[in-house]
Amino acid sequence: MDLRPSSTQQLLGQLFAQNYTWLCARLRSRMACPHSAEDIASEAFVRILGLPDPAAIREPRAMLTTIAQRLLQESWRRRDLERAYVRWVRDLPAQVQPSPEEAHLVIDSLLHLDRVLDGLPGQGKAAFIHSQLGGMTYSDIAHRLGISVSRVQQYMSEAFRLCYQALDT
Amino acid sequence: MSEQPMAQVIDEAAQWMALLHSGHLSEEDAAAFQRWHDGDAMHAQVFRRMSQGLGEAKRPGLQRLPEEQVIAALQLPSGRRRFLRNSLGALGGLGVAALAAKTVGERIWAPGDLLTLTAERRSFVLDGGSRLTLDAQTRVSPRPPSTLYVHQGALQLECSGPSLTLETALADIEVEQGGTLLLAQRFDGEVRLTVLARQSVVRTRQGNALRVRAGQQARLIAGQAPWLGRADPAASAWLSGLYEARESTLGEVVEALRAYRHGVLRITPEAAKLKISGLFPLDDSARALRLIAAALPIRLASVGALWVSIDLA
Repeated sequence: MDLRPSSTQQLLGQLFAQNYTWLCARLRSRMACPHSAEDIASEAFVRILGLPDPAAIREPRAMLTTIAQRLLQESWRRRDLERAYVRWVRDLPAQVQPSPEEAHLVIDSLLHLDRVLDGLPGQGKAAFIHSQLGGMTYSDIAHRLGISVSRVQQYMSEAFRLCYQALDT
Repeated sequence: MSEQPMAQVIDEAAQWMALLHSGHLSEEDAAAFQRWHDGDAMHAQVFRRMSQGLGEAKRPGLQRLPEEQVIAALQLPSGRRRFLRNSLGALGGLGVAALAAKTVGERIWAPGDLLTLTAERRSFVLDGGSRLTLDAQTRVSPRPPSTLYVHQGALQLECSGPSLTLETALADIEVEQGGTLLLAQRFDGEVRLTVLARQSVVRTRQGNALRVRAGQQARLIAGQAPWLGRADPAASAWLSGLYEARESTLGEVVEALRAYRHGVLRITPEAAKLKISGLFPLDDSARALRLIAAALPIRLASVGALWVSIDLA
């Protein structure tokens, strides 16, 4: 389809007009805070805007629902990670307590890594962390996790494939 | 060169990458990798991209955490997320930081946070009697006994009790009893401070100390020396629901309006550079946008109230 930017813009505007209220209502029923529902709905439209060919979307409501669900899921996951992080740092001595901006940086980094490695089994994630953050060799990792070296290698190549794919999104 | 399918090249690259990181690489392996890498431009390209993706995955900050904690975090179960796992492989990733900032009401970090949502202004009375007024989309974490950490947004602090410290990413600001000041941190790496009563001492992360007296304004920008000058009378306009632009860029005005609008407000970089002066109602941002459109050579494309894009006419 050969749409000039202006008509794409128009089409997106139309899409927004027809579906924003609907999407907000759908989200609101699942969230405690109505303002967040509106913000998530808005963000969903912004994501649509970022798609290579928004004009090609045939089922806008299905697409919006999927994107919004993904966003909700991300915000839930963020909360899971934040909770875990808060639990850890609570027990640290005061001198090494991270500042709020450090905490945000770490949580953002965790969330990103979590998303990249999504789909890898728990042991695969552990292998990746030991190798990439801990600098361990595969045989050390195999020993630590009680699995074979070739299994570690399989996990690692799967993880690297996911790193490649993460750039595509 | 070759007509190998992309998926196969990616698999091969992943296997080579895994071998390179194994810690048991032989010289033959290294030579074989080199042959594979140099044998096809596509191989080299995919390998470079994969390295880039790996670099992105290992962001700073993670290294400072114990490995076991990172593993525990990634292995955290989440029922709600499994339920949608396969629904959307191709999307997501970018823009999450923006989302995190917008869904401030959904955040759980530090349950005692003081915050305002979109289009909301609120006053809080702190222990000790000082009054803190937050502009829309502002978040502050009180840290007893006497520090307030400002994450984002704009605020006014009237310190009527014991002295307080406002902490930001760029500086600590001491506010003495009887002091009143305005602080705005709408963009990362930039803080504006206006002292209305008494004086404040600003200690930047670079170790500069700066005394800001009543009627003065300090502007702190990451990596630059602090700037001190006369207070901008427009700085307090938001307290009465107005944004006062004096030869401001349209980008700044739009940024201020953003905190007051649900929905999407877009502006092109060209339009953002236009200069504008005037008084704009924050609580009626639709009217503010109409005023802007009347004053500048721009085109507003809007659908309903919630989708507005601004471009040069």
